[in-house]
Amino acid sequence: MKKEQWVDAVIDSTRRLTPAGTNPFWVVRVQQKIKQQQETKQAVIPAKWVYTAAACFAALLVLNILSFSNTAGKSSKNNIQSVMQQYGFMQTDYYFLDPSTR
Amino acid sequence: MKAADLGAFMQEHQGRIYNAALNLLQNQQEAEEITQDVFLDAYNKQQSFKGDASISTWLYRIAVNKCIDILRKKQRRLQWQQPFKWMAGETLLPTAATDFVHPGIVAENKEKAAILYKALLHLPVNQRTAYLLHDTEHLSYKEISEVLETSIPAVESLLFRARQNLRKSIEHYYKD
Repeated sequence: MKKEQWVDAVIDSTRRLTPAGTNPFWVVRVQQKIKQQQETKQAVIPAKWVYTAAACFAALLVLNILSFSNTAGKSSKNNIQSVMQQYGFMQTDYYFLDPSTR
Repeated sequence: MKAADLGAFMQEHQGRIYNAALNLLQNQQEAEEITQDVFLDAYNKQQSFKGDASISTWLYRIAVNKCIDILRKKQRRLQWQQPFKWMAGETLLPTAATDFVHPGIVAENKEKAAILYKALLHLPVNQRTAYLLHDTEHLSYKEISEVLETSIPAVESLLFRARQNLRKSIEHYYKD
């Protein structure tokens, strides 16, 4: 019983609570923050332009990758073929086993 | 509302918002920051106020959501620090061994109020919020349901469970 009464007293301890005082300067701080927001807003580039620029860069990147992947394979093949031709590796008659047949 | 009109608006509502944040966070500095953020948000999002609830309920909702975010961040940080206590789930673990007492508490009740605030730290966040909004901010069930965006029976259930859990927590502090 004593314990329950004590628990009740603890729960009731905040019943007669006087509200904590506030600082009148908070208004000034919030107004200052709003002012700062408005100033930074003016300098911000519109989102539409940012997205357009990002899309252009992405398209350029894709085009670059596509064109590189298309040309890279072909040129490497051509280079190998030209080197083989230059050194005469395309001629298979060097590989006959019997030297008398040359 | 213009920035110039904000002064009168804040003077009218900041006391209630600050006290609610102070009770929830048990930290004066955080409560001050939250109060300012609430009015900044209210100013920026004033178009989103539809008028279906009172303006004070709307402000309470913003404040409570911000406080819950802070409490959950603290809880997450604490869970990382105490990896084996993460099983506590939504229960807010005591953020520190605080001896917080609301500055408006009558001197004779300070010791008991300190125990109550410590016990409140062990309640799940939604029960704690509902309890504080009802018992210290004196909001009605309907207002609490609007702040927490839930139904009135859910608020009743939250308050019932909050009181039960609070009694159990307080009993641990009893000394013969």
